[in-house]
Amino acid sequence: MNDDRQHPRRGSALSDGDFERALRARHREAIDSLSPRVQAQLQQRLRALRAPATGIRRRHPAWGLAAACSLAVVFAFGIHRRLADKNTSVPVPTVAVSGNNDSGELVATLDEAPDLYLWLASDDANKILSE
Amino acid sequence: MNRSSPIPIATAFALVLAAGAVLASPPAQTALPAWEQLTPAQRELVIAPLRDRWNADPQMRARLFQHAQRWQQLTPEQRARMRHGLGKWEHMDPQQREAMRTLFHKMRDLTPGQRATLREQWRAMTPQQRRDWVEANRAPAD
Repeated sequence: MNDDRQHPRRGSALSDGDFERALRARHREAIDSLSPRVQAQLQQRLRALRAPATGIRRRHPAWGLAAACSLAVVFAFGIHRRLADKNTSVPVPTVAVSGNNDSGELVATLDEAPDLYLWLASDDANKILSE
Repeated sequence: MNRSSPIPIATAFALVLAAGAVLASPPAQTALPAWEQLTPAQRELVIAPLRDRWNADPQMRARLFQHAQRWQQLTPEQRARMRHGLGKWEHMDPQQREAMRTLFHKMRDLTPGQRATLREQWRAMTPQQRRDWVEANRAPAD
């Protein structure tokens, strides 16, 4: 090792880059000189210090999921309302569609005498139809 | 340790269920208003089959008009029974319709006792005899 690495601040010709590299080299040497047990303890403490930050990061996806689901609900509700509005603006003429009669129930109502339909709902007609 | 809060997950789960419920349910049919509140286009749509029927057969117009007048005289309860009878009518074949129409016209002029007798006679008839009876007693068009 040269003198500049032993005393980095002394050399006036030492650049900032060289100074930083010299410091990192010292740092590596210091870590390498530690026993494996001490290194393991340091790593364990480091993980413990970082744990809360990691927890916060892990919560983010859950809240993101909740937000995405909120958007999905709003979107679904919007689609639902649009479909409902569409149905309202063009009502289905259910009164004009029925059974086998092509002209529909509305026309069938007037095609025959209303009294005939009344009679068909009577006991007399029921007895005849039930035979 | 790194346990994340269950609240957002529960919230997301609830929202997914809610979205599923919203999508699974059919779009609510908004109740249509009374006739007076319908737009002219909506009224036109509803009465189109009747207008078509009216224009298609000029000979039928007096009959349709007469039936409409009679319908107007019916009470709400009678109209409900009428719809019930109409439901039966729609499930009959042409031959059955003709028989029932003839029986109706025949029976409405009879006393209760005479109607019971006619029912008994009808019950005893063979299919061919019924066809012959209908042919012989065919009702005039209203």
